[in-house]
Amino acid sequence: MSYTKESRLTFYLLISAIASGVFTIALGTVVLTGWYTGNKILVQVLPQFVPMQYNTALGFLLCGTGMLLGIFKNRYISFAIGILLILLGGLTLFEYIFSLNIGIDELFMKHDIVVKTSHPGRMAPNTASCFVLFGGTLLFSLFSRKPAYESLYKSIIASLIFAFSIVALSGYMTHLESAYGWGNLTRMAVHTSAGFVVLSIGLLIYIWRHDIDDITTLPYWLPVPIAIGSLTVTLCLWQAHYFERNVIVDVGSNASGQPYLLPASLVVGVLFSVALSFTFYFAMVSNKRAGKIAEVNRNLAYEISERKASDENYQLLVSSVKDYAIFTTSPEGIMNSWNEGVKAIKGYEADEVIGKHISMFYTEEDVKSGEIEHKLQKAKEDGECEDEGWRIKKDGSRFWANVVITAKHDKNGILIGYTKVTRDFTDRKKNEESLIKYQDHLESIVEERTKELCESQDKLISTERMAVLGRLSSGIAHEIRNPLATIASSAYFLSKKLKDADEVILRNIKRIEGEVRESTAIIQGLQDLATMEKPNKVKRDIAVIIEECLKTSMIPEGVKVDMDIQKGEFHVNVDIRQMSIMYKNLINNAVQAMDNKGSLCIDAERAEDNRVVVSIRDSGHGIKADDLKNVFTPFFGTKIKGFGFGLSICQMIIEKHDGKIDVQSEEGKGATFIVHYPSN
Amino acid sequence: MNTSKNILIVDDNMNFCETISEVLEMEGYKTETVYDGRSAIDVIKNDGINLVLMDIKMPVMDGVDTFLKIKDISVDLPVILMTAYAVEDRIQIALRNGAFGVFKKPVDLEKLFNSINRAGSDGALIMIADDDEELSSHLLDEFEEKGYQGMVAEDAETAFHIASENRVDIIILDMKSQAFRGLETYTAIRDIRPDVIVIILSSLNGEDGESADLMKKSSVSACLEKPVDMNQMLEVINKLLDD
Repeated sequence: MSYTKESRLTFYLLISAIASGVFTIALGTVVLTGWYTGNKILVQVLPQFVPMQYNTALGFLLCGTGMLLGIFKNRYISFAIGILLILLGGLTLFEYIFSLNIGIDELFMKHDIVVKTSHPGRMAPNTASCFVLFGGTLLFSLFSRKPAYESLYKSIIASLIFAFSIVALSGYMTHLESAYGWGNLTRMAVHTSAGFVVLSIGLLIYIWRHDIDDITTLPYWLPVPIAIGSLTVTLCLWQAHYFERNVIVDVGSNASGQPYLLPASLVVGVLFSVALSFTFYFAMVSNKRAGKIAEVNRNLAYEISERKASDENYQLLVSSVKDYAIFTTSPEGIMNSWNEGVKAIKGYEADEVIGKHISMFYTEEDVKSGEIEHKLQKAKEDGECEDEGWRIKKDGSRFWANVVITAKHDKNGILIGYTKVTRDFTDRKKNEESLIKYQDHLESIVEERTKELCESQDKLISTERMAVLGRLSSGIAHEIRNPLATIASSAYFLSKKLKDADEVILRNIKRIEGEVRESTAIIQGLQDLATMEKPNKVKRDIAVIIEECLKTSMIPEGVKVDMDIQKGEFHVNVDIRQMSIMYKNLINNAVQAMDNKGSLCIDAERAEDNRVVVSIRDSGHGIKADDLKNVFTPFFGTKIKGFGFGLSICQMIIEKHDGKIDVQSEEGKGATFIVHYPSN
Repeated sequence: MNTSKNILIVDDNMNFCETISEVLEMEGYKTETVYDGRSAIDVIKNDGINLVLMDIKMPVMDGVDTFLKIKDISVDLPVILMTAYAVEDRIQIALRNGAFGVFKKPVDLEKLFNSINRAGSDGALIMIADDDEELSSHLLDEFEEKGYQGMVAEDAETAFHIASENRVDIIILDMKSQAFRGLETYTAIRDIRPDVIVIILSSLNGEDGESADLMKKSSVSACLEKPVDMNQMLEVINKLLDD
């Protein structure tokens, strides 16, 4: 806005300045033409007026040119013109002061019009001064060390020129000759004075234009030229009147003779100029200030409108947000705004919420416990309070909210209300909870699996161990058979050779043979352990198998055998060979426990699911309570006659048949081994 | 006791060779000892050996391979194998190819002597697998009178062992008795003695299921009904042996 106004003004000023320059050139040209063509009107205007001298016209030409060149920033030439003008005016003044004739007056033209001219062709001294002054302004175009002051000086000069010329012009208007003529010297021509007025105004305008800024339209230096100008006018007028009055007095006065009028008018004039300049100064200051204020106001208005716009934008943004319930409250917690989010999350419209307290969103427990006040207080103290908890929707359902309450203070630090931003985190909470649940679940599963893994690993290791053991012992067994064979053979030899020897010797040999048999049995047991294959199951009467085992076992006479299993009743799916091994082991075990004397009872019955259960009871020394659980462990043995692995073989066999074996015993009261078959 | 028998002992275990040799010589046999299969074949080629006692597990050429080579040289030479290692499939090969018997170490020497005796004799070797004691002893007497050699097995296991330790020519198998587990025992023995002649004794004229199966298989040579008619038995045996 101000830009266009400003630029319009500057434009007009520029035009005016250019116009004045052009006018001056035209003036000069016209007068010169007048001199060349002998046109008196152009030169003199009126016959009784002093003509514009040739040099003056030339001077005007130069002035105008210089001005235009200055406007169009042609520094060097305008500087040269300035020099010329100063020379022109200066030399003329020099001629006047020292009453010399250098010869410049009629240098270019012979002057035949010499009305009111003291020396032909010589311009008026005030004209010459004006030219000097004007030339001086042109010098600034090259020299300007302090641009701030340049305008000031130029404006002072312009005002001086204006002062002189306007006084002269007014003199022509009021027939006061001494206004435009100093002493008897050449008068300033009327069009000269007019020309200078225009020129000086043009100059002022140009300077003004140069100094226009955003704040004021009037230049800062204005009071000075005004002061100087009006002072000069005052002085010149006073001077003119003073001169005139003296002349009048000399001629023959019928003047009323007021001795105080002229000095008073001088004083008045001076005071008037001072007052005028001060007025201008203050006017300018206040203009400047007003301009500044206007600018500040403009800026403020702009900012306010921007702020308002952004505020509106903000409001629009907040109100349209649906994922967050955002609203503001008074310091007491009464709501005074609403947004889409309040509807979306809590289910309330604006009118249902504005004017009510925020406790309407909270659960009963929270309301009762004073949680709400606590939260507001916290926000007030810390500036902000964030927490999560249950809130109630319009329909009464609960949702898990994440809430941030921010306290708003004005610039004095007084609380003006709160802003509350609520988010529905129900899903998040659900997810968190299921995550925790899954985590726990996972942990327990991992625990379980780990346990299972450990168990199967243990099993694997023990199976491996057993397998390795089996292979190892199998290899060893094979190896041992050879030396045993040799021992047996040698013992036999001795027994035959020494059959007539005494009893002790024979007994020893028998012992050797017996031990070899024992060793062989152990080895066989080992090998059976190692080569325990998958049972080749066939359906058989268990009574028959057991009967046969009894037959082929070496049962001493002192042991009474009682087998009470009804034939044809108990059929089982078994590998015959393996079953035989098992029962033979059990029978042997029982016999050994009885130390060749006692009773061996074998019977069978049906348990639940129709499973067959066989029990082998002996009246031997029984098994200690501590040893019971280890009875089936391979290589577990007590001092006297270890269990070796006969029983572990039994367990292996029956377990390979998907059955199991138990033992019941009391020390000194015999033992009962119970074989459970799986259901068919 | 055929004291003129010359027995070749083959075993890489020198101590064992020595003691067996001593025992056999005490019994009146003549012995020769070698420690590997190659040497055994060389000795046999020279003739003069009546029986070979050989260990199975030997380096380079094991007992079974050596036996097969011996069979090429001298078909009828009885070879009794011994083993510390129960290498089942090798044992089976040996028996199927006609090894006289296989003994496990440490060897039951009494049984060994019995087998040696039978190996040399001319009479047919008959095994009676029947738990009826009276019948068994009766049959035994009858057979021995006729010049056959007889052995009695009271249960399936014994029957199997005897069959593996002696090259029986005829087996008389009781199908009725549960102790013998008829079909199973038969199958097991057939596995190691494919050429043995089997006579089954059954009740009910061969109408019990297993006997019928065996008859159908026609690997059973004859089926006699209990109670046994001795004359009939002897007749059948004679006939079978002549074939």
